[in-house]
Amino acid sequence: MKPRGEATRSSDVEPDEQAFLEELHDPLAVLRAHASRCPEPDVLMAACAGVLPEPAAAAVASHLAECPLCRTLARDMAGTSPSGPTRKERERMRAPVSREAAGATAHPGRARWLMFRPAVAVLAVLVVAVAAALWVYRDRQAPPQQTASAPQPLSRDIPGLPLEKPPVSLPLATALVWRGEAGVDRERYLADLGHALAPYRTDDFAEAARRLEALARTHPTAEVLFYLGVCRLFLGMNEGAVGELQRARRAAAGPLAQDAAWYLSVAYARAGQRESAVAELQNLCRQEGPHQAKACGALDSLGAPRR
Amino acid sequence: MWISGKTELSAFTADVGVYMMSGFERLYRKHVDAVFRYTLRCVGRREIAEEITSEAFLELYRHLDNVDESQLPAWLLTVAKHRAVDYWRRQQVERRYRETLPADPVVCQSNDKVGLFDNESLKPIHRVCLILRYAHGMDRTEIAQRIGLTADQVKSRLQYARRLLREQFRNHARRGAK
Repeated sequence: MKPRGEATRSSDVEPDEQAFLEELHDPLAVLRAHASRCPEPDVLMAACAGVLPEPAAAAVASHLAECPLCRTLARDMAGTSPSGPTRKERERMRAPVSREAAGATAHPGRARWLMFRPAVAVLAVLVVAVAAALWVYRDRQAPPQQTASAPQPLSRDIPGLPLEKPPVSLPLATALVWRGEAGVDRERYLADLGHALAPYRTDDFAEAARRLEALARTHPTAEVLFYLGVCRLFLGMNEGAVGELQRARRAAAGPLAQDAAWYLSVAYARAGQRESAVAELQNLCRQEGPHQAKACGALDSLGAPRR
Repeated sequence: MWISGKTELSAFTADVGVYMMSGFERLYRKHVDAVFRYTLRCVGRREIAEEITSEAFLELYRHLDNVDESQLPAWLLTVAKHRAVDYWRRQQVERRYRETLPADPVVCQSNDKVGLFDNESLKPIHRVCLILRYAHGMDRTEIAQRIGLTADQVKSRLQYARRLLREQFRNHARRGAK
């Protein structure tokens, strides 16, 4: 990408585009000047996808609350999908697996410990027997954890229903929810929401809950109710969290609805409402989404059926 | 199965390898598009998306026995998402972003910066092309990769959008002159 604030590359410009650039020179110059203060589109989309770490995510969120250009871009891009991999990219992405598979077969030396020398064989039998005995013993002591051997990124989420702070990823959702409504009201709402979530970002959940509660009286939107419910969870007010998260889940759409369902199941479990938690988790486990694997793992941990 | 010698052992491990690859191959073909697209949306650069997608599938191959197929593609997307977060952490976006800000930022109070593209005949895809091209200075190939079109399709959408905007601009100027 070329430095922003410049016109488009001259070699890339078509004849009719040249005329367009000349005719709309002034408004386009204003647009470029404005965009020079915006995050790059890739950074914006990363923030919307929830993969931008703090404090960059907070900086982009604040900008998004004030910038209609970025809100429009984020909203419109949400309806598109990037192009898929080319044939060569597919082959290259698969190559490491092929290499690893070939390494396992082409270098039997790697499996040399399997060579059947009597002592090794006896040791192997002993190890297997002890492991089996331990496995059976553990099975009797505790409910099975089918996903205990999953890789690192998931295993952090597996044991039960951990309470993890969700990132502030509401600007895109807010832009979508408030699309078409009066601009002034939307701007004020976004400003109030940013103010209410400032203490949330620094883990001051009590102050964040107080501000969100006040905002919920005038704007009981899905985002406000969701973050209010999460704050109450962190404050140990589990029954209150259940109420807010139920309302948030009803009001929310898309990814936020799934986030609300996940935290609602956490709230149910912490409030001792096991059956309701299981019902929520079963719904999440059935549908594809960011919480599916966690929900299925949580059901296993609770000893409840997945369906 | 008893394995009595080196030759048989090689054959055995080769069989296991082939068996695992055939199962993996099917999963790879089924999910690689979705994982790549998701990752590309998260990081914006094809070579990075390629690297992360490749790592996610390598993880899957290594844990093939422990991952239930019903957990896919969510399992792969979770791995890719963690890798994308790591990528952005390494980029130190915060510092870069702040460096681009002017000393005295002007807070935009209205919708006028998008007003240029306010035209009912413009669809979201046209607006995306216009903003990426004329606000952020991307070329057609860069735009195409981010929104799943070919460079020619981007070209035709931009041509259509420019025609509409020029008409709108002229009408506006005529009304102003009267």
